[in-house]
Amino acid sequence: MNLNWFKYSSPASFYPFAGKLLPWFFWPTVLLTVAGLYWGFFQTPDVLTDQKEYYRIIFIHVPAAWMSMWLYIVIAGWSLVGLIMNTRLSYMMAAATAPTGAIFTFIALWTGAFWGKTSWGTWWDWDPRMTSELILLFIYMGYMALQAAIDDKRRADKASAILALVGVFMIPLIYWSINCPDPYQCTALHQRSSIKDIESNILWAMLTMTLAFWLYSFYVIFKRVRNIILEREKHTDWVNQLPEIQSVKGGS
Amino acid sequence: MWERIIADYGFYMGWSFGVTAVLMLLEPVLLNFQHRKMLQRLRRISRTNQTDR
Repeated sequence: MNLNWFKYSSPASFYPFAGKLLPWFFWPTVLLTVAGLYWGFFQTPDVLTDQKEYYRIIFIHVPAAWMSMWLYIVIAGWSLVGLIMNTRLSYMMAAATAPTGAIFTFIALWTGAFWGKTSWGTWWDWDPRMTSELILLFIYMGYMALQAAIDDKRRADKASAILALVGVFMIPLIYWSINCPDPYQCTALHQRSSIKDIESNILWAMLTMTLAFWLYSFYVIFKRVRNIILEREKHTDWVNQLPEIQSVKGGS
Repeated sequence: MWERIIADYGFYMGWSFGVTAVLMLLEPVLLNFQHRKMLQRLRRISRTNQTDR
Protein backbone atom coordinates (compact mmCIF):
# COMPACT_ATOMS: atom_id res chain seq x y z
CA MET A 1 0.00 0.00 0.00
CA ASN A 2 1.44 3.33 -1.03
CA LEU A 3 0.49 5.77 1.72
CA ASN A 4 1.56 9.37 1.35
CA TRP A 5 2.16 10.48 4.96
CA PHE A 6 2.91 14.08 3.97
CA LYS A 7 -0.63 14.35 2.67
CA TYR A 8 -1.85 14.00 6.28
CA SER A 9 0.34 16.81 7.56
CA SER A 10 -2.29 19.19 6.25
CA PRO A 11 -5.20 19.85 8.67
CA ALA A 12 -7.66 19.60 5.76
CA SER A 13 -6.58 16.00 5.04
CA PHE A 14 -6.03 14.98 8.64
CA TYR A 15 -9.46 16.11 9.91
CA PRO A 16 -11.50 13.48 7.99
CA PHE A 17 -8.72 10.86 8.40
CA ALA A 18 -8.76 11.26 12.21
CA GLY A 19 -12.57 11.02 12.15
CA LYS A 20 -12.39 7.69 10.29
CA LEU A 21 -9.84 6.32 12.79
CA LEU A 22 -11.91 7.14 15.90
CA PRO A 23 -13.99 3.90 15.99
CA TRP A 24 -10.79 1.88 15.45
CA PHE A 25 -9.49 3.26 18.74
CA PHE A 26 -12.78 3.38 20.65
CA TRP A 27 -13.81 -0.29 20.51
CA PRO A 28 -10.35 -1.79 21.21
CA THR A 29 -10.10 0.63 24.19
CA VAL A 30 -13.40 -0.66 25.60
CA LEU A 31 -12.50 -4.32 24.99
CA LEU A 32 -8.99 -4.04 26.44
CA THR A 33 -10.19 -2.10 29.51
CA VAL A 34 -12.81 -4.78 30.26
CA ALA A 35 -10.26 -7.56 29.63
CA GLY A 36 -7.54 -5.85 31.69
CA LEU A 37 -9.84 -5.18 34.66
CA TYR A 38 -11.26 -8.72 34.55
CA TRP A 39 -7.74 -10.15 34.42
CA GLY A 40 -6.54 -7.81 37.16
CA PHE A 41 -9.43 -8.51 39.52
CA PHE A 42 -10.23 -12.18 38.91
CA GLN A 43 -7.09 -13.90 37.57
CA THR A 44 -4.46 -12.48 39.89
CA PRO A 45 -3.39 -13.54 43.42
CA ASP A 46 -5.04 -11.77 46.38
CA VAL A 47 -1.74 -10.86 47.92
CA LEU A 48 1.33 -9.19 46.40
CA THR A 49 4.33 -9.68 48.71
CA ASP A 50 3.20 -7.87 51.89
CA GLN A 51 0.29 -6.05 50.22
CA LYS A 52 -3.27 -7.33 50.28
CA GLU A 53 -6.12 -6.86 47.75
CA TYR A 54 -5.67 -3.10 47.55
CA TYR A 55 -2.52 -3.62 45.48
CA ARG A 56 -4.89 -3.85 42.47
CA ILE A 57 -4.76 -0.05 42.33
CA ILE A 58 -1.53 -0.66 40.36
CA PHE A 59 -3.65 -1.68 37.37
CA ILE A 60 -4.54 1.98 36.90
CA HIS A 61 -1.72 3.68 38.82
CA VAL A 62 1.23 2.24 36.89
CA PRO A 63 -0.30 2.54 33.36
CA ALA A 64 -1.38 6.13 34.15
CA ALA A 65 2.15 7.00 35.35
CA TRP A 66 3.69 5.46 32.22
CA MET A 67 1.23 7.33 30.00
CA SER A 68 1.94 10.62 31.78
CA MET A 69 5.62 10.33 30.83
CA TRP A 70 5.04 8.91 27.35
CA LEU A 71 2.54 11.63 26.39
CA TYR A 72 4.98 14.30 27.48
CA ILE A 73 7.60 12.79 25.14
CA VAL A 74 4.94 12.86 22.39
CA ILE A 75 4.28 16.59 23.06
CA ALA A 76 8.02 17.33 22.96
CA GLY A 77 8.33 15.32 19.73
CA TRP A 78 5.49 17.19 18.00
CA SER A 79 6.88 20.50 19.30
CA LEU A 80 10.30 19.70 17.84
CA VAL A 81 8.76 18.75 14.48
CA GLY A 82 6.73 21.98 14.59
CA LEU A 83 9.78 24.13 15.29
CA ILE A 84 11.91 22.45 12.62
CA MET A 85 9.35 22.02 9.83
CA ASN A 86 6.92 24.79 10.84
CA THR A 87 3.90 22.54 10.32
CA ARG A 88 0.66 23.76 11.87
CA LEU A 89 -0.67 20.26 12.52
CA SER A 90 2.37 19.35 14.69
CA TYR A 91 1.58 22.18 17.08
CA MET A 92 -2.10 21.24 17.06
CA MET A 93 -1.21 17.63 17.93
CA ALA A 94 1.01 18.82 20.78
CA ALA A 95 -1.76 21.08 22.10
CA ALA A 96 -4.29 18.24 21.83
CA THR A 97 -2.05 15.83 23.76
CA ALA A 98 -1.38 18.09 26.77
CA PRO A 99 -4.77 17.86 28.59
CA THR A 100 -4.80 14.05 28.30
CA GLY A 101 -1.24 13.90 29.61
CA ALA A 102 -2.19 16.16 32.51
CA ILE A 103 -5.20 13.95 33.32
CA PHE A 104 -3.01 10.82 33.39
CA THR A 105 -0.46 12.60 35.60
CA PHE A 106 -3.26 13.60 37.98
CA ILE A 107 -4.63 10.02 37.97
CA ALA A 108 -1.13 8.66 38.74
CA LEU A 109 -0.76 11.07 41.69
CA TRP A 110 -4.32 10.55 42.94
CA THR A 111 -4.29 6.75 42.82
CA GLY A 112 -0.73 6.79 44.20
CA ALA A 113 -1.96 8.70 47.25
CA PHE A 114 -4.65 6.08 47.96
CA TRP A 115 -2.23 3.21 47.38
CA GLY A 116 0.38 4.96 49.52
CA LYS A 117 -2.08 5.38 52.40
CA THR A 118 -2.88 1.66 52.46
CA SER A 119 0.63 0.31 51.93
CA TRP A 120 2.94 2.98 53.41
CA GLY A 121 0.50 4.62 55.83
CA THR A 122 0.85 8.06 54.25
CA TRP A 123 -1.07 9.98 51.58
CA TRP A 124 1.97 11.89 50.41
CA ASP A 125 5.71 11.91 50.91
CA TRP A 126 8.35 14.05 49.25
CA ASP A 127 9.76 10.90 47.70
CA PRO A 128 11.88 11.69 44.55
CA ARG A 129 9.49 9.95 42.14
CA MET A 130 6.34 11.50 43.65
CA THR A 131 7.89 14.95 43.70
CA SER A 132 9.13 14.73 40.11
CA GLU A 133 5.70 13.48 38.97
CA LEU A 134 4.10 16.48 40.72
CA ILE A 135 6.53 18.80 38.90
CA LEU A 136 5.50 17.10 35.63
CA LEU A 137 1.86 17.99 36.40
CA PHE A 138 2.91 21.62 36.92
CA ILE A 139 4.79 21.57 33.59
CA TYR A 140 1.67 20.25 31.84
CA MET A 141 -0.41 22.99 33.47
CA GLY A 142 2.19 25.61 32.54
CA TYR A 143 2.15 24.40 28.93
CA MET A 144 -1.65 24.68 28.74
CA ALA A 145 -1.69 28.04 30.52
CA LEU A 146 0.89 29.44 28.09
CA GLN A 147 -1.14 28.19 25.12
CA ALA A 148 -4.24 29.91 26.50
CA ALA A 149 -2.48 33.12 27.55
CA ILE A 150 -1.22 34.22 24.11
CA ASP A 151 -3.91 35.31 21.65
CA ASP A 152 -1.76 34.92 18.54
CA LYS A 153 -1.85 31.16 18.04
CA ARG A 154 1.38 31.01 16.02
CA ARG A 155 3.28 32.74 18.81
CA ALA A 156 1.52 30.64 21.46
CA ASP A 157 2.52 27.47 19.58
CA LYS A 158 6.17 28.47 19.36
CA ALA A 159 6.41 29.62 22.99
CA SER A 160 4.74 26.49 24.35
CA ALA A 161 6.88 24.28 22.06
CA ILE A 162 10.01 25.76 23.62
CA LEU A 163 8.55 25.20 27.10
CA ALA A 164 7.74 21.58 26.18
CA LEU A 165 11.30 20.99 24.98
CA VAL A 166 12.81 22.58 28.09
CA GLY A 167 10.56 20.46 30.33
CA VAL A 168 11.47 17.17 28.65
CA PHE A 169 14.44 16.77 31.03
CA MET A 170 11.86 15.75 33.66
CA ILE A 171 11.17 12.42 31.95
CA PRO A 172 14.54 10.70 32.54
CA LEU A 173 14.52 12.30 35.99
CA ILE A 174 11.18 10.67 36.86
CA TYR A 175 12.21 7.37 35.31
CA TRP A 176 15.48 7.12 37.22
CA SER A 177 14.28 8.70 40.48
CA ILE A 178 13.49 5.42 42.19
CA ASN A 179 15.73 5.44 45.20
CA CYS A 180 16.61 8.42 47.30
CA PRO A 181 19.92 9.89 46.06
CA ASP A 182 21.34 10.01 49.56
CA PRO A 183 19.89 7.38 51.94
CA TYR A 184 21.36 9.24 54.93
CA GLN A 185 19.39 12.35 54.07
CA CYS A 186 16.03 10.81 53.15
CA THR A 187 14.23 7.56 52.51
CA ALA A 188 12.48 6.80 49.22
CA LEU A 189 9.16 4.98 49.21
CA HIS A 190 9.46 3.94 45.57
CA GLN A 191 12.07 1.22 45.21
CA ARG A 192 13.31 -0.42 42.03
CA SER A 193 11.72 -3.79 41.26
CA SER A 194 12.74 -6.11 38.47
CA ILE A 195 10.11 -7.04 35.87
CA LYS A 196 11.09 -10.72 36.40
CA ASP A 197 9.90 -10.50 40.03
CA ILE A 198 6.33 -9.60 39.04
CA GLU A 199 3.85 -12.49 38.89
CA SER A 200 2.99 -13.10 35.22
CA ASN A 201 -0.80 -12.56 35.58
CA ILE A 202 -0.21 -9.25 37.38
CA LEU A 203 2.29 -8.17 34.73
CA TRP A 204 0.02 -9.08 31.80
CA ALA A 205 -3.03 -7.43 33.36
CA MET A 206 -0.95 -4.29 33.87
CA LEU A 207 0.34 -4.38 30.28
CA THR A 208 -3.22 -4.90 28.96
CA MET A 209 -4.38 -1.84 30.90
CA THR A 210 -1.40 0.12 29.57
CA LEU A 211 -2.38 -0.77 26.00
CA ALA A 212 -5.98 0.23 26.79
CA PHE A 213 -4.81 3.61 28.14
CA TRP A 214 -2.61 4.04 25.09
CA LEU A 215 -5.50 3.46 22.68
CA TYR A 216 -7.73 5.69 24.83
CA SER A 217 -5.12 8.44 24.44
CA PHE A 218 -5.20 8.07 20.65
CA TYR A 219 -9.01 8.25 20.76
CA VAL A 220 -9.31 11.43 22.85
CA ILE A 221 -6.30 13.16 21.27
CA PHE A 222 -7.72 12.62 17.78
CA LYS A 223 -11.08 13.87 19.01
CA ARG A 224 -9.49 16.98 20.53
CA VAL A 225 -7.28 17.71 17.54
CA ARG A 226 -10.39 17.67 15.30
CA ASN A 227 -11.91 20.36 17.55
CA ILE A 228 -8.68 22.38 17.49
CA ILE A 229 -8.51 22.12 13.68
CA LEU A 230 -12.12 23.33 13.35
CA GLU A 231 -11.50 26.22 15.74
CA ARG A 232 -8.30 27.40 14.06
CA GLU A 233 -9.39 26.82 10.46
CA LYS A 234 -12.98 28.03 10.78
CA HIS A 235 -12.45 30.85 8.26
CA THR A 236 -11.14 28.56 5.52
CA ASP A 237 -13.13 27.29 2.55
CA TRP A 238 -12.46 23.62 3.22
CA VAL A 239 -14.11 23.85 6.67
CA ASN A 240 -17.10 25.60 5.10
CA GLN A 241 -17.35 22.79 2.52
CA LEU A 242 -17.32 19.98 5.11
CA PRO A 243 -20.27 17.58 4.64
CA GLU A 244 -21.30 17.88 8.33
CA ILE A 245 -21.73 21.65 7.83
CA GLN A 246 -23.19 21.54 4.32
CA SER A 247 -25.73 18.75 4.98
CA VAL A 248 -27.81 20.72 7.47
CA LYS A 249 -27.34 24.04 5.73
CA GLY A 250 -29.32 22.95 2.65
CA GLY A 251 -32.25 21.60 4.66
CA SER A 252 -32.90 24.62 6.83
CA MET B 1 -14.32 -12.51 49.62
CA TRP B 2 -15.66 -9.36 47.93
CA GLU B 3 -17.56 -8.26 51.04
CA ARG B 4 -14.32 -8.35 53.00
CA ILE B 5 -12.37 -6.49 50.28
CA ILE B 6 -15.05 -3.78 50.06
CA ALA B 7 -15.23 -3.49 53.85
CA ASP B 8 -11.45 -3.31 54.26
CA TYR B 9 -10.35 -1.44 51.15
CA GLY B 10 -13.57 -0.18 49.48
CA PHE B 11 -12.79 3.42 50.38
CA TYR B 12 -9.30 3.38 48.84
CA MET B 13 -10.16 1.30 45.77
CA GLY B 14 -13.48 3.09 45.27
CA TRP B 15 -11.89 6.54 45.23
CA SER B 16 -9.00 5.39 43.03
CA PHE B 17 -11.03 3.53 40.41
CA GLY B 18 -14.04 5.87 40.74
CA VAL B 19 -12.20 9.13 40.08
CA THR B 20 -10.22 7.51 37.24
CA ALA B 21 -13.44 6.23 35.62
CA VAL B 22 -15.19 9.61 35.97
CA LEU B 23 -12.24 11.51 34.42
CA MET B 24 -11.75 9.04 31.58
CA LEU B 25 -15.47 8.96 30.75
CA LEU B 26 -15.96 12.70 31.12
CA GLU B 27 -13.11 13.64 28.77
CA PRO B 28 -14.58 12.14 25.54
CA VAL B 29 -18.12 13.23 26.52
CA LEU B 30 -17.00 16.86 26.91
CA LEU B 31 -15.03 16.66 23.65
CA ASN B 32 -18.16 15.38 21.87
CA PHE B 33 -20.17 18.24 23.34
CA GLN B 34 -17.53 20.77 22.29
CA HIS B 35 -17.48 19.29 18.77
CA ARG B 36 -21.28 19.47 18.44
CA LYS B 37 -21.35 23.07 19.66
CA MET B 38 -18.57 24.00 17.25
CA LEU B 39 -20.36 22.44 14.29
CA GLN B 40 -23.57 24.30 15.24
CA ARG B 41 -21.66 27.58 15.33
CA LEU B 42 -19.98 26.92 12.00
CA ARG B 43 -23.32 26.02 10.38
CA ARG B 44 -24.78 29.27 11.68
CA ILE B 45 -21.83 31.29 10.34
CA SER B 46 -22.04 29.47 7.01
CA ARG B 47 -25.83 30.11 6.76
CA THR B 48 -25.40 33.80 7.59
CA ASN B 49 -22.70 34.19 4.94
CA GLN B 50 -24.97 32.61 2.34
CA THR B 51 -27.88 34.92 3.25
CA ASP B 52 -25.60 37.93 3.05
CA ARG B 53 -24.62 37.01 -0.47
